[in-house]
Amino acid sequence: MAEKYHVIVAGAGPAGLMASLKAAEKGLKVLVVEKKNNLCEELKTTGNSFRIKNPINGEFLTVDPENGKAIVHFHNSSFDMEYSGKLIPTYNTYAFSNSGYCVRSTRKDRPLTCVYRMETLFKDLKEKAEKAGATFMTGTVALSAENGKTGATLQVKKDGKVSFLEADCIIAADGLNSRLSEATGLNRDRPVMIRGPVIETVFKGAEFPYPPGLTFVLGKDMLGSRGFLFVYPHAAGEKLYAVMVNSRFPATQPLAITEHFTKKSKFAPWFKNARPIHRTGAIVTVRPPAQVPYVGNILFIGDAAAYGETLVPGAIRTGYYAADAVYKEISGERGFEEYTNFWTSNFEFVNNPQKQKDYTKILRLYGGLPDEELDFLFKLAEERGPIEQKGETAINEYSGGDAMLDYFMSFPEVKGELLNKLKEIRGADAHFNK
Amino acid sequence: MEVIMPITISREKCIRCGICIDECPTAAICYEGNNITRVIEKDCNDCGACLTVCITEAISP
Repeated sequence: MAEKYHVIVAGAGPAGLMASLKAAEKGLKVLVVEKKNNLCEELKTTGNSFRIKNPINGEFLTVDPENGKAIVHFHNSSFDMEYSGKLIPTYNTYAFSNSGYCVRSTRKDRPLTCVYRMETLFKDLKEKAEKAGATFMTGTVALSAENGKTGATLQVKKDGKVSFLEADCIIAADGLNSRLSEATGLNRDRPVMIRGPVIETVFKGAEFPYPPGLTFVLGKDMLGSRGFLFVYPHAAGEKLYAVMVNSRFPATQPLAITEHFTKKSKFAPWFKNARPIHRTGAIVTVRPPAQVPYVGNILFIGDAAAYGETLVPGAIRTGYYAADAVYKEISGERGFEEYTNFWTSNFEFVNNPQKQKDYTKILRLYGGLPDEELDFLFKLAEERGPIEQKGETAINEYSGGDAMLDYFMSFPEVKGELLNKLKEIRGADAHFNK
Repeated sequence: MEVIMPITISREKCIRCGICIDECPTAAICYEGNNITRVIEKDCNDCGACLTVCITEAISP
Protein backbone atom coordinates (compact mmCIF):
# COMPACT_ATOMS: atom_id res chain seq x y z
CA MET A 1 0.00 0.00 0.00
CA ALA A 2 1.44 3.31 -1.07
CA GLU A 3 1.97 5.98 1.52
CA LYS A 4 -0.82 8.53 1.63
CA TYR A 5 -0.09 12.18 2.02
CA HIS A 6 -2.37 14.97 3.14
CA VAL A 7 -1.21 16.99 0.19
CA ILE A 8 1.04 16.50 -2.80
CA VAL A 9 2.37 19.66 -4.37
CA ALA A 10 3.24 19.33 -8.05
CA GLY A 11 5.95 21.83 -8.93
CA ALA A 12 8.59 23.50 -6.75
CA GLY A 13 8.46 27.01 -8.17
CA PRO A 14 7.67 30.00 -5.98
CA ALA A 15 3.98 29.03 -5.62
CA GLY A 16 4.59 25.35 -4.89
CA LEU A 17 7.44 26.00 -2.46
CA MET A 18 5.45 28.50 -0.42
CA ALA A 19 2.44 26.13 -0.38
CA SER A 20 4.68 23.28 0.81
CA LEU A 21 6.28 25.37 3.51
CA LYS A 22 3.01 26.67 4.91
CA ALA A 23 1.22 23.30 4.65
CA ALA A 24 4.08 21.57 6.47
CA GLU A 25 4.06 24.28 9.14
CA LYS A 26 0.38 23.49 9.73
CA GLY A 27 1.39 19.92 10.50
CA LEU A 28 0.23 18.38 7.22
CA LYS A 29 2.10 15.50 5.64
CA VAL A 30 3.45 17.12 2.48
CA LEU A 31 5.14 15.66 -0.59
CA VAL A 32 6.60 17.93 -3.25
CA VAL A 33 7.12 16.55 -6.75
CA GLU A 34 9.55 18.46 -8.95
CA LYS A 35 11.12 17.73 -12.35
CA LYS A 36 14.44 19.31 -11.47
CA ASN A 37 16.96 17.41 -9.37
CA ASN A 38 18.77 20.45 -8.09
CA LEU A 39 15.71 22.38 -6.99
CA CYS A 40 17.40 25.69 -6.43
CA GLU A 41 18.90 26.13 -9.85
CA GLU A 42 17.20 28.80 -11.91
CA LEU A 43 16.50 27.37 -15.34
CA LYS A 44 13.16 28.85 -16.30
CA THR A 45 12.87 32.55 -17.04
CA THR A 46 10.77 34.36 -14.44
CA GLY A 47 10.44 37.85 -13.08
CA ASN A 48 13.21 38.87 -10.70
CA SER A 49 12.09 41.97 -8.83
CA PHE A 50 9.78 42.97 -6.03
CA ARG A 51 7.79 46.01 -7.09
CA ILE A 52 7.80 48.27 -4.07
CA LYS A 53 4.46 49.81 -3.06
CA ASN A 54 3.20 49.18 -6.58
CA PRO A 55 -0.33 47.87 -6.19
CA ILE A 56 -0.55 44.81 -8.38
CA ASN A 57 -2.60 41.66 -8.00
CA GLY A 58 -4.16 43.17 -4.88
CA GLU A 59 -0.86 43.33 -3.06
CA PHE A 60 1.39 46.05 -1.69
CA LEU A 61 5.01 45.08 -1.00
CA THR A 62 7.73 46.74 1.00
CA VAL A 63 11.18 45.45 1.84
CA ASP A 64 13.19 46.07 5.01
CA PRO A 65 16.89 45.27 5.01
CA GLU A 66 17.92 43.53 8.20
CA ASN A 67 21.43 42.29 9.10
CA GLY A 68 22.47 41.25 5.61
CA LYS A 69 19.10 39.78 4.80
CA ALA A 70 15.73 41.30 4.01
CA ILE A 71 12.17 40.96 5.18
CA VAL A 72 9.60 41.21 2.41
CA HIS A 73 6.26 42.44 3.72
CA PHE A 74 3.09 41.35 1.94
CA HIS A 75 0.89 44.04 3.44
CA ASN A 76 -2.55 43.06 2.16
CA SER A 77 -1.97 39.37 2.87
CA SER A 78 -0.47 40.16 6.30
CA PHE A 79 2.58 37.96 6.11
CA ASP A 80 6.32 38.46 5.87
CA MET A 81 8.92 36.45 4.02
CA GLU A 82 12.60 36.35 4.81
CA TYR A 83 15.01 36.73 1.91
CA SER A 84 18.63 35.90 2.71
CA GLY A 85 20.39 37.38 -0.32
CA LYS A 86 21.46 40.72 -1.64
CA LEU A 87 18.82 42.99 -3.16
CA ILE A 88 19.51 45.64 -5.79
CA PRO A 89 17.26 48.65 -5.32
CA THR A 90 16.38 50.38 -8.60
CA TYR A 91 15.18 53.98 -8.77
CA ASN A 92 14.86 54.27 -12.53
CA THR A 93 13.21 52.80 -15.58
CA TYR A 94 14.29 53.49 -19.12
CA ALA A 95 12.91 53.13 -22.59
CA PHE A 96 14.92 53.51 -25.76
CA SER A 97 13.32 54.27 -29.12
CA ASN A 98 14.45 52.97 -32.47
CA SER A 99 16.98 55.77 -33.01
CA GLY A 100 18.35 55.44 -29.48
CA TYR A 101 16.55 58.31 -27.72
CA CYS A 102 16.05 57.52 -24.06
CA VAL A 103 13.14 58.35 -21.80
CA ARG A 104 14.12 57.98 -18.17
CA SER A 105 11.65 57.78 -15.38
CA THR A 106 12.98 58.12 -11.88
CA ARG A 107 11.80 58.08 -8.27
CA LYS A 108 13.91 59.72 -5.58
CA ASP A 109 12.10 58.98 -2.32
CA ARG A 110 12.18 55.17 -2.51
CA PRO A 111 13.11 52.35 -4.91
CA LEU A 112 10.71 51.41 -7.67
CA THR A 113 11.81 47.80 -7.38
CA CYS A 114 14.23 45.58 -5.54
CA VAL A 115 15.89 42.98 -7.73
CA TYR A 116 16.36 39.60 -6.06
CA ARG A 117 18.11 36.43 -7.09
CA MET A 118 15.67 33.65 -7.88
CA GLU A 119 18.06 30.92 -6.76
CA THR A 120 18.32 32.47 -3.30
CA LEU A 121 14.56 32.77 -3.08
CA PHE A 122 14.19 29.08 -4.05
CA LYS A 123 16.84 28.07 -1.53
CA ASP A 124 15.26 30.05 1.31
CA LEU A 125 11.82 28.56 0.75
CA LYS A 126 13.05 25.02 0.10
CA GLU A 127 15.22 24.89 3.22
CA LYS A 128 12.38 26.17 5.38
CA ALA A 129 9.89 23.73 3.83
CA GLU A 130 12.27 20.83 4.45
CA LYS A 131 12.84 21.94 8.03
CA ALA A 132 9.08 22.11 8.54
CA GLY A 133 8.83 18.49 7.43
CA ALA A 134 7.95 18.54 3.71
CA THR A 135 9.39 15.66 1.67
CA PHE A 136 10.81 16.29 -1.80
CA MET A 137 10.69 13.87 -4.72
CA THR A 138 13.01 15.33 -7.35
CA GLY A 139 13.71 14.40 -10.97
CA THR A 140 10.01 13.61 -11.18
CA VAL A 141 7.51 14.89 -13.73
CA ALA A 142 3.85 15.20 -12.67
CA LEU A 143 1.97 13.78 -15.66
CA SER A 144 -1.68 13.93 -14.68
CA ALA A 145 -4.05 13.96 -11.75
CA GLU A 146 -7.37 12.33 -11.08
CA ASN A 147 -9.99 12.74 -8.39
CA GLY A 148 -11.05 9.74 -6.34
CA LYS A 149 -13.95 9.35 -3.93
CA THR A 150 -12.01 10.70 -0.99
CA GLY A 151 -8.81 12.15 -2.35
CA ALA A 152 -6.83 12.42 -5.53
CA THR A 153 -4.15 10.48 -7.37
CA LEU A 154 -1.13 11.95 -9.05
CA GLN A 155 0.51 10.12 -11.92
CA VAL A 156 4.25 10.76 -11.99
CA LYS A 157 7.29 9.67 -13.94
CA LYS A 158 10.75 9.26 -12.44
CA ASP A 159 13.73 7.58 -14.10
CA GLY A 160 11.47 6.55 -16.99
CA LYS A 161 9.04 4.73 -14.70
CA VAL A 162 5.42 5.72 -14.17
CA SER A 163 3.85 5.46 -10.73
CA PHE A 164 0.82 6.74 -8.80
CA LEU A 165 0.79 8.76 -5.60
CA GLU A 166 -2.19 9.26 -3.32
CA ALA A 167 -3.22 12.25 -1.24
CA ASP A 168 -6.25 13.93 0.28
CA CYS A 169 -5.57 16.95 -1.93
CA ILE A 170 -3.26 17.88 -4.75
CA ILE A 171 -1.91 21.36 -5.27
CA ALA A 172 -1.06 21.84 -8.94
CA ALA A 173 1.73 24.41 -9.13
CA ASP A 174 3.21 23.27 -12.43
CA GLY A 175 3.29 26.61 -14.13
CA LEU A 176 2.09 28.26 -17.32
CA ASN A 177 2.34 25.09 -19.38
CA SER A 178 0.71 22.98 -16.68
CA ARG A 179 0.20 19.34 -17.61
CA LEU A 180 -2.25 18.98 -14.74
CA SER A 181 -4.50 21.83 -15.95
CA GLU A 182 -4.67 20.11 -19.31
CA ALA A 183 -5.24 16.62 -17.88
CA THR A 184 -8.03 17.59 -15.48
CA GLY A 185 -10.06 19.71 -17.90
CA LEU A 186 -9.21 23.04 -16.26
CA ASN A 187 -8.11 24.32 -19.67
CA ARG A 188 -11.32 23.32 -21.41
CA ASP A 189 -12.67 26.87 -21.60
CA ARG A 190 -9.28 28.49 -21.64
CA PRO A 191 -8.13 28.77 -25.26
CA VAL A 192 -4.55 29.84 -25.88
CA MET A 193 -4.48 33.61 -26.47
CA ILE A 194 -0.75 34.15 -26.91
CA ARG A 195 2.12 31.71 -27.09
CA GLY A 196 5.73 32.55 -27.68
CA PRO A 197 9.34 31.75 -26.79
CA VAL A 198 11.47 33.69 -24.29
CA ILE A 199 15.19 33.66 -23.60
CA GLU A 200 17.07 35.47 -20.87
CA THR A 201 20.84 35.83 -21.06
CA VAL A 202 22.90 37.07 -18.13
CA PHE A 203 25.98 39.03 -19.21
CA LYS A 204 29.01 39.59 -17.03
CA GLY A 205 30.90 42.83 -17.59
CA ALA A 206 28.11 44.67 -19.37
CA GLU A 207 28.34 48.45 -19.20
CA PHE A 208 24.93 49.97 -18.96
CA PRO A 209 25.41 53.76 -19.24
CA TYR A 210 22.94 54.77 -16.51
CA PRO A 211 22.16 53.77 -12.93
CA PRO A 212 20.54 50.30 -12.90
CA GLY A 213 16.89 49.95 -13.81
CA LEU A 214 14.45 48.10 -15.97
CA THR A 215 15.02 49.06 -19.59
CA PHE A 216 12.75 48.57 -22.57
CA VAL A 217 14.43 48.67 -25.95
CA LEU A 218 12.11 49.36 -28.83
CA GLY A 219 12.09 49.77 -32.55
CA LYS A 220 12.23 47.97 -35.82
CA ASP A 221 16.03 47.84 -35.88
CA MET A 222 15.82 45.48 -32.94
CA LEU A 223 12.56 43.74 -33.07
CA GLY A 224 10.03 45.24 -35.40
CA SER A 225 6.79 43.80 -34.14
CA ARG A 226 8.50 40.55 -33.27
CA GLY A 227 8.33 40.99 -29.53
CA PHE A 228 9.83 42.87 -26.62
CA LEU A 229 13.36 43.31 -25.39
CA PHE A 230 14.28 44.20 -21.82
CA VAL A 231 17.60 44.83 -20.09
CA TYR A 232 17.80 44.76 -16.30
CA PRO A 233 20.30 44.22 -13.50
CA HIS A 234 20.79 40.68 -12.23
CA ALA A 235 21.44 40.01 -8.53
CA ALA A 236 23.80 37.05 -8.91
CA GLY A 237 26.87 39.29 -8.80
CA GLU A 238 28.46 42.64 -9.61
CA LYS A 239 28.00 44.25 -13.03
CA LEU A 240 25.60 41.62 -14.23
CA TYR A 241 22.90 42.57 -16.70
CA ALA A 242 20.27 40.31 -18.14
CA VAL A 243 18.84 40.69 -21.62
CA MET A 244 15.40 39.17 -22.00
CA VAL A 245 13.67 38.75 -25.32
CA ASN A 246 10.04 37.76 -25.49
CA SER A 247 9.14 37.00 -29.06
CA ARG A 248 7.24 34.79 -31.46
CA PHE A 249 7.87 31.44 -33.07
CA PRO A 250 10.13 30.15 -34.57
CA ALA A 251 11.47 29.30 -31.13
CA THR A 252 15.01 30.37 -32.00
CA GLN A 253 13.99 33.95 -32.77
CA PRO A 254 14.64 35.35 -29.25
CA LEU A 255 18.22 34.06 -29.32
CA ALA A 256 18.79 35.56 -32.78
CA ILE A 257 17.44 38.92 -31.56
CA THR A 258 19.67 38.74 -28.47
CA GLU A 259 22.71 38.11 -30.69
CA HIS A 260 21.83 41.03 -32.94
CA PHE A 261 21.17 43.35 -30.00
CA THR A 262 24.40 42.59 -28.14
CA LYS A 263 26.74 42.27 -31.12
CA LYS A 264 25.50 44.39 -34.03
CA SER A 265 22.93 46.95 -32.91
CA LYS A 266 23.65 50.51 -31.81
CA PHE A 267 23.51 49.15 -28.25
CA ALA A 268 26.32 46.65 -28.84
CA PRO A 269 28.90 48.92 -27.10
CA TRP A 270 27.21 48.15 -23.77
CA PHE A 271 28.28 44.54 -24.30
CA LYS A 272 31.72 45.13 -25.82
CA ASN A 273 33.54 43.56 -22.86
CA ALA A 274 30.72 41.33 -21.73
CA ARG A 275 30.24 37.60 -21.97
CA PRO A 276 27.13 35.52 -21.48
CA ILE A 277 27.35 33.44 -18.30
CA HIS A 278 23.87 32.00 -17.93
CA ARG A 279 20.73 31.44 -19.96
CA THR A 280 17.20 30.59 -18.99
CA GLY A 281 14.19 30.09 -21.21
CA ALA A 282 10.46 29.63 -21.28
CA ILE A 283 7.50 29.26 -23.56
CA VAL A 284 4.90 31.77 -22.46
CA THR A 285 1.43 30.40 -23.00
CA VAL A 286 -1.28 32.87 -22.11
CA ARG A 287 -4.82 31.64 -21.44
CA PRO A 288 -7.77 33.32 -19.77
CA PRO A 289 -7.47 32.72 -16.03
CA ALA A 290 -9.53 29.93 -14.49
CA GLN A 291 -12.56 31.45 -12.78
CA VAL A 292 -12.80 28.45 -10.46
CA PRO A 293 -9.22 27.32 -9.79
CA TYR A 294 -9.98 23.83 -8.51
CA VAL A 295 -11.36 20.54 -9.80
CA GLY A 296 -12.59 18.26 -7.01
CA ASN A 297 -9.67 17.77 -4.64
CA ILE A 298 -7.12 19.38 -6.95
CA LEU A 299 -6.30 23.07 -6.42
CA PHE A 300 -4.49 25.06 -9.12
CA ILE A 301 -2.21 27.85 -7.96
CA GLY A 302 0.24 30.34 -9.46
CA ASP A 303 0.44 30.40 -13.24
CA ALA A 304 -1.15 26.94 -13.60
CA ALA A 305 -4.52 28.69 -13.25
CA ALA A 306 -3.62 32.15 -14.47
CA TYR A 307 -3.33 34.54 -17.35
CA GLY A 308 0.44 34.55 -16.97
CA GLU A 309 0.83 37.75 -15.02
CA THR A 310 0.72 36.25 -11.54
CA LEU A 311 4.39 37.19 -11.17
CA VAL A 312 6.62 35.71 -8.49
CA PRO A 313 5.19 37.64 -5.51
CA GLY A 314 1.68 36.72 -6.71
CA ALA A 315 2.68 33.08 -7.01
CA ILE A 316 4.07 33.16 -3.47
CA ARG A 317 0.76 34.56 -2.23
CA THR A 318 -1.26 31.84 -3.95
CA GLY A 319 0.96 29.28 -2.22
CA TYR A 320 0.42 30.94 1.13
CA TYR A 321 -3.37 30.89 0.73
CA ALA A 322 -3.43 27.42 -0.81
CA ALA A 323 -1.90 25.85 2.31
CA ASP A 324 -4.71 27.33 4.35
CA ALA A 325 -7.30 26.17 1.78
CA VAL A 326 -6.02 22.59 1.85
CA TYR A 327 -5.87 22.55 5.64
CA LYS A 328 -9.50 23.66 5.85
CA GLU A 329 -10.64 21.31 3.12
CA ILE A 330 -9.09 18.36 4.96
CA SER A 331 -10.79 19.53 8.17
CA GLY A 332 -14.16 19.42 6.39
CA GLU A 333 -14.43 23.15 5.75
CA ARG A 334 -14.83 24.84 2.39
CA GLY A 335 -11.22 25.86 1.95
CA PHE A 336 -11.21 25.76 -1.85
CA GLU A 337 -14.23 28.04 -2.08
CA GLU A 338 -12.52 30.47 0.21
CA TYR A 339 -9.41 30.28 -1.97
CA THR A 340 -11.54 30.97 -5.02
CA ASN A 341 -12.80 34.18 -3.40
CA PHE A 342 -9.24 35.25 -2.71
CA TRP A 343 -8.25 34.37 -6.29
CA THR A 344 -11.07 36.24 -8.01
CA SER A 345 -11.01 39.31 -5.80
CA ASN A 346 -7.25 39.84 -5.74
CA PHE A 347 -5.90 38.87 -9.11
CA GLU A 348 -7.03 41.66 -11.40
CA PHE A 349 -6.92 39.59 -14.55
CA VAL A 350 -9.34 37.03 -13.26
CA ASN A 351 -12.47 39.12 -13.16
CA ASN A 352 -11.63 42.50 -14.59
CA PRO A 353 -10.68 42.73 -18.27
CA GLN A 354 -10.36 46.50 -17.82
CA LYS A 355 -7.44 46.03 -15.46
CA GLN A 356 -5.88 43.66 -17.93
CA LYS A 357 -5.97 46.47 -20.48
CA ASP A 358 -4.55 48.98 -18.02
CA TYR A 359 -1.73 46.72 -17.07
CA THR A 360 -0.67 46.15 -20.65
CA LYS A 361 -0.89 49.86 -21.46
CA ILE A 362 2.84 50.27 -21.85
CA LEU A 363 2.78 47.53 -24.46
CA ARG A 364 -0.08 49.28 -26.22
CA LEU A 365 1.96 52.48 -26.24
CA TYR A 366 5.00 50.79 -27.72
CA GLY A 367 3.16 48.43 -29.97
CA GLY A 368 0.60 50.98 -31.15
CA LEU A 369 2.87 53.78 -32.33
CA PRO A 370 5.21 53.64 -35.31
CA ASP A 371 8.93 54.16 -34.78
CA GLU A 372 8.87 57.70 -36.20
CA GLU A 373 6.29 58.79 -33.64
CA LEU A 374 8.14 57.10 -30.78
CA ASP A 375 11.42 58.70 -31.92
CA PHE A 376 9.67 62.09 -32.04
CA LEU A 377 8.26 61.70 -28.51
CA PHE A 378 11.40 60.17 -27.02
CA LYS A 379 13.61 62.90 -28.49
CA LEU A 380 11.42 65.60 -26.94
CA ALA A 381 11.45 63.76 -23.60
CA GLU A 382 15.22 63.24 -23.65
CA GLU A 383 15.80 66.95 -24.26
CA ARG A 384 13.59 67.85 -21.30
CA GLY A 385 15.21 65.41 -18.88
CA PRO A 386 13.98 62.57 -16.66
CA ILE A 387 10.41 62.18 -15.55
CA GLU A 388 10.17 62.35 -11.79
CA GLN A 389 7.64 60.01 -10.23
CA LYS A 390 6.22 61.05 -6.88
CA GLY A 391 3.19 60.88 -4.65
CA GLU A 392 0.81 57.96 -4.70
CA THR A 393 1.70 55.00 -6.83
CA ALA A 394 -0.22 53.89 -9.88
CA ILE A 395 -0.49 50.41 -11.28
CA ASN A 396 1.99 51.24 -14.04
CA GLU A 397 4.63 52.92 -11.93
CA TYR A 398 7.03 50.06 -12.51
CA SER A 399 7.01 50.47 -16.26
CA GLY A 400 6.63 54.23 -16.01
CA GLY A 401 3.69 53.97 -18.43
CA ASP A 402 1.28 56.52 -17.00
CA ALA A 403 3.98 59.03 -16.10
CA MET A 404 5.44 58.75 -19.60
CA LEU A 405 2.09 59.26 -21.27
CA ASP A 406 1.38 62.33 -19.12
CA TYR A 407 4.85 63.70 -19.85
CA PHE A 408 4.42 63.28 -23.62
CA MET A 409 0.98 64.86 -23.54
CA SER A 410 2.31 67.90 -21.68
CA PHE A 411 4.59 68.86 -24.60
CA PRO A 412 3.17 71.69 -26.79
CA GLU A 413 4.73 69.98 -29.84
CA VAL A 414 2.47 66.96 -29.29
CA LYS A 415 -0.90 67.65 -30.88
CA GLY A 416 -3.50 66.47 -33.34
CA GLU A 417 -3.68 62.80 -34.23
CA LEU A 418 -0.70 61.81 -32.07
CA LEU A 419 -2.16 63.53 -29.00
CA ASN A 420 -5.44 61.73 -29.58
CA LYS A 421 -3.69 58.38 -29.76
CA LEU A 422 -1.89 59.05 -26.48
CA LYS A 423 -5.12 60.17 -24.84
CA GLU A 424 -6.82 57.03 -25.96
CA ILE A 425 -4.10 54.81 -24.45
CA ARG A 426 -3.89 56.89 -21.26
CA GLY A 427 -7.68 56.82 -20.89
CA ALA A 428 -7.61 53.10 -20.32
CA ASP A 429 -7.08 53.62 -16.61
CA ALA A 430 -9.01 56.86 -16.10
CA HIS A 431 -11.10 55.11 -13.47
CA PHE A 432 -7.99 54.31 -11.45
CA ASN A 433 -6.62 57.72 -10.67
CA LYS A 434 -9.77 59.82 -10.66
CA MET B 1 8.29 -2.57 -38.72
CA GLU B 2 8.70 1.16 -38.49
CA VAL B 3 11.98 2.19 -36.98
CA ILE B 4 11.77 5.12 -34.59
CA MET B 5 14.94 7.12 -34.08
CA PRO B 6 14.87 8.96 -30.79
CA ILE B 7 15.92 12.61 -30.82
CA THR B 8 19.30 13.67 -29.49
CA ILE B 9 20.11 16.70 -27.35
CA SER B 10 23.36 18.60 -27.73
CA ARG B 11 24.93 19.20 -24.34
CA GLU B 12 26.77 22.19 -25.71
CA LYS B 13 23.71 23.99 -26.98
CA CYS B 14 21.23 22.89 -24.32
CA ILE B 15 20.60 25.54 -21.65
CA ARG B 16 18.53 23.04 -19.60
CA CYS B 17 15.50 25.34 -19.47
CA GLY B 18 13.13 22.37 -19.37
CA ILE B 19 10.79 23.57 -22.11
CA CYS B 20 11.09 20.24 -23.93
CA ILE B 21 10.40 18.34 -20.71
CA ASP B 22 7.15 20.27 -20.28
CA GLU B 23 6.12 19.94 -23.91
CA CYS B 24 6.94 16.32 -24.73
CA PRO B 25 3.60 14.53 -25.20
CA THR B 26 5.05 11.18 -24.08
CA ALA B 27 7.15 12.62 -21.24
CA ALA B 28 10.22 11.13 -22.87
CA ILE B 29 12.61 13.83 -21.64
CA CYS B 30 13.69 14.34 -18.05
CA TYR B 31 16.44 15.82 -15.94
CA GLU B 32 19.16 13.56 -14.63
CA GLY B 33 22.07 14.29 -12.32
CA ASN B 34 22.58 17.97 -11.78
CA ASN B 35 19.73 18.98 -14.07
CA ILE B 36 21.12 17.59 -17.30
CA THR B 37 18.46 17.01 -19.95
CA ARG B 38 18.15 13.36 -20.99
CA VAL B 39 16.02 11.51 -23.55
CA ILE B 40 14.25 8.36 -22.34
CA GLU B 41 14.78 6.58 -25.65
CA LYS B 42 12.16 3.85 -25.22
CA ASP B 43 9.46 6.53 -24.77
CA CYS B 44 10.42 8.86 -27.65
CA ASN B 45 8.17 8.44 -30.66
CA ASP B 46 10.03 11.00 -32.73
CA CYS B 47 7.01 13.31 -33.04
CA GLY B 48 9.13 16.46 -33.27
CA ALA B 49 7.23 18.52 -30.67
CA CYS B 50 10.47 19.29 -28.83
CA LEU B 51 12.18 20.47 -32.03
CA THR B 52 9.65 23.24 -32.57
CA VAL B 53 9.91 24.57 -29.00
CA CYS B 54 13.65 24.34 -28.37
CA ILE B 55 14.92 27.93 -28.15
CA THR B 56 18.60 27.13 -28.74
CA GLU B 57 18.37 24.51 -31.54
CA ALA B 58 19.86 21.95 -29.19
CA ILE B 59 17.68 19.08 -30.38
CA SER B 60 18.27 17.03 -33.55
CA PRO B 61 15.74 14.62 -35.00
